[in-house]
Amino acid sequence: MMKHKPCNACRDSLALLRALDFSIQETVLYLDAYPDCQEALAYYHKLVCERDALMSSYQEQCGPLSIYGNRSKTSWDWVNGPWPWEIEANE
Amino acid sequence: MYSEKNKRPCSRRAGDDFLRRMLGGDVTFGNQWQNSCSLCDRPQERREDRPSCHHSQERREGCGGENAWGGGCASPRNDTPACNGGDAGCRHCPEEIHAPSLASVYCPMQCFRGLYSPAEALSHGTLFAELKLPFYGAKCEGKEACDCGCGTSNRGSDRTHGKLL
Amino acid sequence: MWTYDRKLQYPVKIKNPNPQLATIIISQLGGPDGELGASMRYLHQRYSMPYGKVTGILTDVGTEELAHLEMVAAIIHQLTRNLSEEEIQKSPFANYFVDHTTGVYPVAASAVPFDMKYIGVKGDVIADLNEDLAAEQKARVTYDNILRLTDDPDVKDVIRYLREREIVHYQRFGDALRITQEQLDSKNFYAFNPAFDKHCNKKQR
Repeated sequence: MMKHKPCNACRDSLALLRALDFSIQETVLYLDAYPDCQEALAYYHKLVCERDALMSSYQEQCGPLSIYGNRSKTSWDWVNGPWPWEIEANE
Repeated sequence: MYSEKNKRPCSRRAGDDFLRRMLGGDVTFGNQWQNSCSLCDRPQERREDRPSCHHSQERREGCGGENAWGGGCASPRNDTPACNGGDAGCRHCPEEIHAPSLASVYCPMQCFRGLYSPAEALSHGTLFAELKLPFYGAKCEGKEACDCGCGTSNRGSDRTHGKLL
Repeated sequence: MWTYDRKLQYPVKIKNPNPQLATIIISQLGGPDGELGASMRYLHQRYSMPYGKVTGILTDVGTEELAHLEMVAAIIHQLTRNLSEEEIQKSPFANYFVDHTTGVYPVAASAVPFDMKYIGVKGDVIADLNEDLAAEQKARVTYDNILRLTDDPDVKDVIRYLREREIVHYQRFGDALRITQEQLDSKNFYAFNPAFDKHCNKKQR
């Protein structure tokens, strides 16, 4: 299994994705309880739009973040490390 | 028991709105509870010297009975007996809440406000500044001022402040 | 169903291995108030909920707890890496090591393995939501206690994050309870169980 250290650009993109996903998670939990809140719904759409664009470019350049995101047609990168619980994936 | 009219935009003040809905009318604080009778709009006060509003029992607009909160029963009578003052709440008003029920807990509503930026939110563990409630432990007990160097006094304050654990 | 998102919800990067600390923190993996119990509780309670908002809250909080389970496992994994046999022998971690080596096994600090008896699924909306409120508070207290027992800043950073999530979840379950109360007769919330006595429900989901 190949373990590689992500490049700086990939690390920065992943950090931004974590932040966006977390704010989306918080907004989703709020909307579950207050589904009629238009402000929350507008914020959700704003974040999801940014997130979709970033996810697309990340998976293209850095590797898959889900089983649906393996962009390479010649290699199955999904099994390449580091895995999320390893320290190299969090630096 | 909350009707559609209670849905309001997110700019409401969460705490006031919660209490307003629980007590079934406009609420002011102080020495008296003030509910407005839903039929005659007269304020219903808790003080003994102020009679409750009465509605004609013949017209079946209300039983006229005074409930335990000193408010007038605004509910149509139908064929049930008038509520008695000793009851914990008027049983004749299915669409109104005169008082929070016993044997339950109530959670205030939260407004969508005070948001951190996405990067800040992740580092704080929440998107909402109002939900950021860190743990200090016993580090500030007995001390006049917190020891984190910020100069905040611990006296006479309902906020504990001390070394963040 | 679930799709796996190949990143931790919050980064875990612990510079200094510490097997003794691992034997304490592991309670948030397999202990009575840990993340495995939390995720199983909420994901199983959601099937009998009659209100969409409540089902949504249980599904989404339950899914997030799986993410937290992974984070706690990452903490244990990183605290127990690169250990010598001598370091293990000197530490309370030796008792765990003999059965699990440095595998990550859901167990409490007391060495009692995870037990599904830690969770309740009563099939009654009010009972289940009150259990959930209590569960979030107990998890928060466990994190408070972990914060008391370590000075490692890398560990404390992640524990503070996980603790704050419990507080936010508490508010959400409070919202779920209020949403439930809004569907019931305020004169008597306990007149029937809306999860079972569906013909008594006056309002739509």
